[in-house]
Amino acid sequence: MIGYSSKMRLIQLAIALLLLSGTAAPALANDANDPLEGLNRKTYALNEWLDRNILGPVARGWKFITPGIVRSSIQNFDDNLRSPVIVGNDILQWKWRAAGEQVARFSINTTIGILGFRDVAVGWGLEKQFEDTGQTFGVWGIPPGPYIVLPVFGPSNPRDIVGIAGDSILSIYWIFAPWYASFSYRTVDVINDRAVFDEQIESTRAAALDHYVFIRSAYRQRRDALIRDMSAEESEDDLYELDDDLYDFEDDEE
Amino acid sequence: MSSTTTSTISRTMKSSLRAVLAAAGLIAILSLTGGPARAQSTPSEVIETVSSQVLAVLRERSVESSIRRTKVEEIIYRYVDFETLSRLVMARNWRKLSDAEKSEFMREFKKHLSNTYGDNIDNYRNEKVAILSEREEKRGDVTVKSTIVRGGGGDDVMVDYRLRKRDDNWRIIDVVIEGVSLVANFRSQFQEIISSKGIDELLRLLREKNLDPPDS
Repeated sequence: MIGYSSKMRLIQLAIALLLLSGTAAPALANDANDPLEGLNRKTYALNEWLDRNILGPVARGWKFITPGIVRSSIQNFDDNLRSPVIVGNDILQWKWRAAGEQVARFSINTTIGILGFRDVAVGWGLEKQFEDTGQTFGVWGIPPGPYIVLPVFGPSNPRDIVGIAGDSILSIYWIFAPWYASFSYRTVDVINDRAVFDEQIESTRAAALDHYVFIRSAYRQRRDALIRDMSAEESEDDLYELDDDLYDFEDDEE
Repeated sequence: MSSTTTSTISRTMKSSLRAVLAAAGLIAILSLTGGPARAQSTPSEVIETVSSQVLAVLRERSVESSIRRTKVEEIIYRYVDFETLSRLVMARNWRKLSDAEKSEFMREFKKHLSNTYGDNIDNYRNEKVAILSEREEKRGDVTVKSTIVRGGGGDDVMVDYRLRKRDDNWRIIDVVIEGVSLVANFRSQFQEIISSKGIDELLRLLREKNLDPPDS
């Protein structure tokens, strides 16, 4: 696993890449922005191997021995524990109402929802929020930079890697618990998540013709949507233009 | 090793998993689209009809999955504009295709989509569809926003359908799951395969996948 100093080095590298990417021409939303593709594909292959041979089988064992309610309760518990990170990022994005709602969610779910194992608040109209520091940087207008596949942890980019540091600061649990307590809990959390998404992961493998590109495209689109908070925004590229219309004004291409 | 490191590690993994989930929805959700397009139906009505027809088939658990699969395909074929979908996915490469290649691509791509969502038919667990709103887009398109409500504590899934009017009927030209567009996703994949290995290789890959459909 990554130690503290290597994490700092990763963050420094990410900042360097972020600064470099700032000087490049703004990429089309559909542009892959993947200058490290050769290395990324190797890392991707390693991650796929680890998933097929270790995480996947372990997760399916977990799925076999646990009822669905246990798996969703663990997810809820983990989401509830993330509340400080969400509230912090809501405030950094100047979304005070959302911050207040998340505080309400935390209060309700921790008490009535029995330590967060049940998401009662969502039934009361307090929607689940997905916020992290990488998204906050996006809201501030910082570009993601090139696509990077991290060993073990999967798809990312310099902006999201630096965001990890922000999430660490906003997450306050390190004050209360020793790392090994957190580590064993996180292990369960990762296995549980993998089990919850097992069918979906298998079907992406079946559906993709180039699974690496499938994941890269999905990651970029999903992060963009989260930064916009899933709100309506017409894409600026030519996604819905038919080829005939495109050629009207760029016939000389190639 | 600090606890913050372990927690952020799992954060990163979770966000990757969510991206995968969103991508996977692309396939699963195709099983919630389709149905005869009546003239004068609004885009929301089209999605409403498609969803209720497909859900009705999925609920018939006593019926053999291959029969349910065929029924769902029939509904989808009626309501999805596969020609426009294929052209959007191919984008600039469309023009490089001969007429024979175009029709082969459309046939194989349609089959590929059918195979992948078909494998998900038995994963249906009493999900319900709620239509939320309608939005006008450029080019006269309309986006219908909906959510798939999952029982048993699962998170709801946001699904946007983009429709375009052709021959007086609204038909689906893209499905966007949790912010991930089917058209954009396949476009990047096909673009990469075409630019590194050519159109022939793309068609060969599609044929190969379709001959050997993954078992669920």
